[in-house]
Amino acid sequence: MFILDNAIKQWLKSFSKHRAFNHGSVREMEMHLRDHIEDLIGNGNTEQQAFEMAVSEFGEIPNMAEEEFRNQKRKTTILTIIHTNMLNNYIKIAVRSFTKQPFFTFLNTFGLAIGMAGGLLIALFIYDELSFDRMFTNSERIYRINIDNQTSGEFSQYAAAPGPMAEVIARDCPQVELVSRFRNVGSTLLRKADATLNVKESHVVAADTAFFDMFGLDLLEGNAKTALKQPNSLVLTKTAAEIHFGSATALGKSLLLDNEHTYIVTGIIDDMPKNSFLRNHSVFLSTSSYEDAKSIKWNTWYFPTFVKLHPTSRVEDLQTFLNTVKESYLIPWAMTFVPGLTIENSRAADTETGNFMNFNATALTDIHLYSSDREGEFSTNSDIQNVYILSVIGLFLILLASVNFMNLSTAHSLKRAKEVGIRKTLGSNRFGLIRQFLTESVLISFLSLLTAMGIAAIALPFFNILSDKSISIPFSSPFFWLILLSTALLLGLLSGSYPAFFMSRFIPVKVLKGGQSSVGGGNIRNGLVIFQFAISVFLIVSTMVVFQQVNFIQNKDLGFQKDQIIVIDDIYAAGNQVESFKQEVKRISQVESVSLSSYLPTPSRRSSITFFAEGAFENNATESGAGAMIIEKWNIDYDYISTLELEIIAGRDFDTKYATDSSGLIINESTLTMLGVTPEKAIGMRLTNDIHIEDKDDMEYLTIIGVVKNFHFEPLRNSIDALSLRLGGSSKKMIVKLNSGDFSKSIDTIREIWSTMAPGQPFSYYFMDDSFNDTYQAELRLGSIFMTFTVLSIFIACLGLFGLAAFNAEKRAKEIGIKKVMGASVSQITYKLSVDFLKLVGIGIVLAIPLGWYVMNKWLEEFTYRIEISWWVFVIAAITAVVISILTVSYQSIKAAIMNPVKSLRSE
Amino acid sequence: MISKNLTAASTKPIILGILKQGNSYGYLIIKKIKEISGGTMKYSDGMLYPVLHRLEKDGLIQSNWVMDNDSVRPRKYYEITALGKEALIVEKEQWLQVNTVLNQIWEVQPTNK
Repeated sequence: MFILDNAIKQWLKSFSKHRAFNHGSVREMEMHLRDHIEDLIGNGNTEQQAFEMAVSEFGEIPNMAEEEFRNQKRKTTILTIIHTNMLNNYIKIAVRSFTKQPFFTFLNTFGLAIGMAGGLLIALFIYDELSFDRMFTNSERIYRINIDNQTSGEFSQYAAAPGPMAEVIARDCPQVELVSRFRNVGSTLLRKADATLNVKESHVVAADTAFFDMFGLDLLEGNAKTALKQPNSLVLTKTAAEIHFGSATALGKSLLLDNEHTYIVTGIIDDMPKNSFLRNHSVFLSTSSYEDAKSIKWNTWYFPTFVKLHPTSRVEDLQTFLNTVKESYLIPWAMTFVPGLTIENSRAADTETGNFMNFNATALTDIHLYSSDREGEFSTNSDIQNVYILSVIGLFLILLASVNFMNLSTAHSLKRAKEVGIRKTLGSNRFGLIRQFLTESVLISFLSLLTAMGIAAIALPFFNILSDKSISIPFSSPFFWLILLSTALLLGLLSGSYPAFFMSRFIPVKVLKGGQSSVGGGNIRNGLVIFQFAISVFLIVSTMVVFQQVNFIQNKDLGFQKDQIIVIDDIYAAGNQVESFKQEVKRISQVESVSLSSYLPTPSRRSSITFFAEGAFENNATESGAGAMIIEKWNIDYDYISTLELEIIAGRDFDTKYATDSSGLIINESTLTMLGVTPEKAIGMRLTNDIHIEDKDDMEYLTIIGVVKNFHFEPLRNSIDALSLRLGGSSKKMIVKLNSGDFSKSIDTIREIWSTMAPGQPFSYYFMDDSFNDTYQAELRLGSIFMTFTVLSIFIACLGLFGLAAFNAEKRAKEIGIKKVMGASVSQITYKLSVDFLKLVGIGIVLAIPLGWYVMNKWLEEFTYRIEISWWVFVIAAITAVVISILTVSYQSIKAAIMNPVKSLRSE
Repeated sequence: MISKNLTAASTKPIILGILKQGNSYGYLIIKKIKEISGGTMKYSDGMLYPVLHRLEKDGLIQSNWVMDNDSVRPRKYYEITALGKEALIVEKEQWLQVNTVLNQIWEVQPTNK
C-alpha cells in the first residue's frame, strides 16, 4: 500500500544526508514536490504515479547538493552577513513590534537612556579627571620634587622643595634636562600705577625663566626667554590683562603690587588650561624679585620645583640622586652653624628619634589624582578614589539599565512566543531569529542613545555645578562618536543577547499549541531583580553614610567659635590705619569683639618654625638635631583667643598689663605632647628658634605663658598639629564677632568705616562658617553626586520592576480571574501578586547590607574623626527599598486584582 | 531540445526576468519556464534551487515565506532586488549582443558566397 506522506518523508531523508541543505531549503523542496504532486493528481494520475513522476522530474539529489555546496563555499561578503534587504526586513519587523507595544518600548528605551545618560556624564567627568596636566609638552617627563618630613612624631608632606634644590639638581644631576622653580606668593592686591582702586588676585606665584620652556607655553605677547628674567617683572594671563588694562595693551605697563612694589608687565600668556594644576593662576612674577630666591638656606620650603628628565632617563635615577641630597648638601650647610654636627651623628639621631627628611618626585600627570594631601599645592587636588567610586557607579547604572532591558524583554517574550513558533514553522532558523531580536535590541539601544544625548545635554550644566567642572560634550570629536556608537552597539548586543538566545530556543509545537504559559528563565529574571535592588540599597546606604559624616564634621565641637564671625580680607591695604580701623569697628554696638591676625582655624596662611627647648644646646643635643620640633607659628593679637573663644587650660591669655608678653608664647596640647610635659609644667618653659645665631648666648627665647585646649584648625581629615601663638606680626585679616541681630546692617557700617579709612581699596569679607564649610566641599560634592546617581539607579530599578509587575499581572490574568470567581478578595490577590516581588527585594537587601557596611567603613577610615555606621542606616535603606518597590508593584497588582474576571476568562 | 550548457547559462536572466514580472516561488517559476519555452528547455526541477539560493546570496533576489490565502502550505516567495534589476539589465545587454553577433553572422553569410 502506497502512503504518500511516508514516501515524501523517505524522499526528504535523502536530503538530510547531504549537509548542503539547511532546514529552510529542505522545506522549500518539500513544498515544491507537494505542489507538483497535487498538480499531477489533478491531471488524473494516482498518488503513486504522481509521486514517481515528480521525483523523477526533480532530478538527482547529489548533483543539486554539489551545486548547493559550491554556493556555500563562495566568498561570503559583508553584504551577505548583514544582508541589506534582510536587515530592512528585520528593521521593519522591529518597528512593527515597537509600535505594537508602545508602553514596553518606552520602558525599555527610557530606562536604558537614563542609564546611558548617567554613564555618559560620568565618563566625561572621569575623562576630564584623567586628562589633567597632560596638555603640557612632554608632560610624561616632568616631575615635581617633594619633601616628606617627620619631626618629633609629626609627619608632614610638602609639595615644594628647599630653595637651593633647583640649582643643585641642575648642576649635579645628569638625568635632568631642565629645572624650573616657583616661589609661593599667595593672594596679592594689584593696581595700575595711576589707579586708586586695588584688584585682588588670589593666585599669584613667582616663576623663573625656565617656566615657559618647561611646560611648553608660548607667550601671546613678549619674549618667553627674557620675560621673567629681571626683578620686578611679571607675566599676566589674557584674562588678568583684560581685568587690569581692559582692551588697552598691557605689555610694558607697570602695576603696583600690595600698594608697594612696582612691576612691569613683560608678557601676556594664554589662560592656564582648566584641567591643569595651574588652572587658577593668573599672575606670574619673576622669582628674581625675591631676595630669598638667591638664598642658600635649606630651611626655605616654599619653592615648588619641577624637573624635566632626558628622554632616556629613568625616574629611579632621579630618586637615587634625591636620596643623596640630604647628606651631600643639606647637612654640610647645617654644619656651618651647628657646632659639632656631623653626618654620622645626624644619622644616629635619626635612627634614635625616628625623625627623617626625604626628597622624592611626583610625576606631573599624577599630581591631580595621586597627591592630595601635600602642603603647598597650587590647586586643590582630587583623588583617584573618587574616580574609582564614580566608575563603579557609572558601571552600576549602565548594568542596571541593561538588566532592566533583559528582564523586560525575556518577560515579554511570552507574548512573542507564537511569533517565534510561526517563524520557525515558516522556515526561519535559530540564527535568523537571533539576528531579528538582536536587531531590535540594537535599535532600542540607538534610540536610547539619542534620548540619552538629549538628557545629558540638558543635565550637563547642573552636573557641572555638582562636580565643579566645566565639561562640555565633545560633539566634534570623531573619537567620541566612535566610542559612543560602539558602546551603544555593544550595549544593544549585550542586553539583547540573553533575550535573543532565550526566545529563539522556543519549540514551535509547544508554543503554537498554546500550552506555554510560563516562559521559563524565571530564575535568571529573579536574579537580575535581586541584583538591581542590592545595588540600589547599597547606594542608599552609601549616600546616607556620606551625608552623616559630612554633617558630623560640620557640627562637631571644633574647640573654637566659628558662628557669627565675619572675616575681612586684606586689611593691610589700609596701611597704617589698620589699628584705628580696628578701634572704630570695635565701637559699633553690634560688634562683640575684634581681632587682627593672618592666621585662622579655617583655610588661611600657615607657617611652621623649628623650635628647640631651652637647654637643648647645653648637652649638645642639637648636634644631632634631636631637640628640633616643627611647630606651627601664628602671629595674633590680644583679642584673638577671646574672640574665637579658645579655652585656656593652663596659664593665661596675652595681656596688655605684662610688657614681657611680647616674648610670650601660648601653645596647644599637641605641642605639650611634643615637649612631653604636663600643662602646669609647661608654663615658664622657654623655647627658641634662633639657632642660626653665632653667639649662642644671644639667642632669643620665648616663654610659654599659657596652654590652649586643642582646637581643629585643619580639616577633620587630619589630626591636630602642634601650634604656638605669639603676639605681633603684620595682619592680613580682621575677625569680627557680632551679636545676633541684623548682620547686613553691621557689615554695611563696617564697610562705610573701611571706605573712609582706606579709600579705593576693595572691601571683601566672608563668614567664617561658610569658609569652614568650603573645606568640606569635596565630601559634600561626593555626597551630592552619590545622591543623584542613587536616585537615578533606584528609578531605573523601579522602571524594571514596574514592567515586570505588569507582565506578571498579565500572565496570571486567568489565574486571577478564576481566584476571583472562587471568592478571593482584591486585597488577597494584591498581596499574593506583590509578595513574590518583595521576596526578591528582601534578598537584594540582605546581600547589600554587608557590602555597604564594608565599603563605607573603608571610606570612613580616611577620616581621623568619623562616625560609626549605625544600624538604623540599614533599616532606613531597607524600608526605603521595600516601600518604593511596594508602591511600584502594587499599582499593577491592584489593577489586575480589580479587573472583572469575565474579561480575562472570556478571551481565547 | 536546448542543450544543457546553454540552458544553464541562460538560467540567471530567465529567473531574474520572470521575477521582474512579479514575485514567485520555485515550483511556479519552473512551471513558467516550461510553459514559455514550450518544453524545449528542460531542467531537472531540483537544479533550480541551488541557482535561486546563489542569486539570493549575491543579493540579486530575496526571499520570504508567505502563507497564501488559497493555499494549504507556506511558500518561499522570491522577489527581485534593486541589485537584481541592475544585473538583469546587464544580462539583457549581453544576450542581445550575442544575439546581434549571431544575427549578423547568419545574415551576412549568403552575400559572401
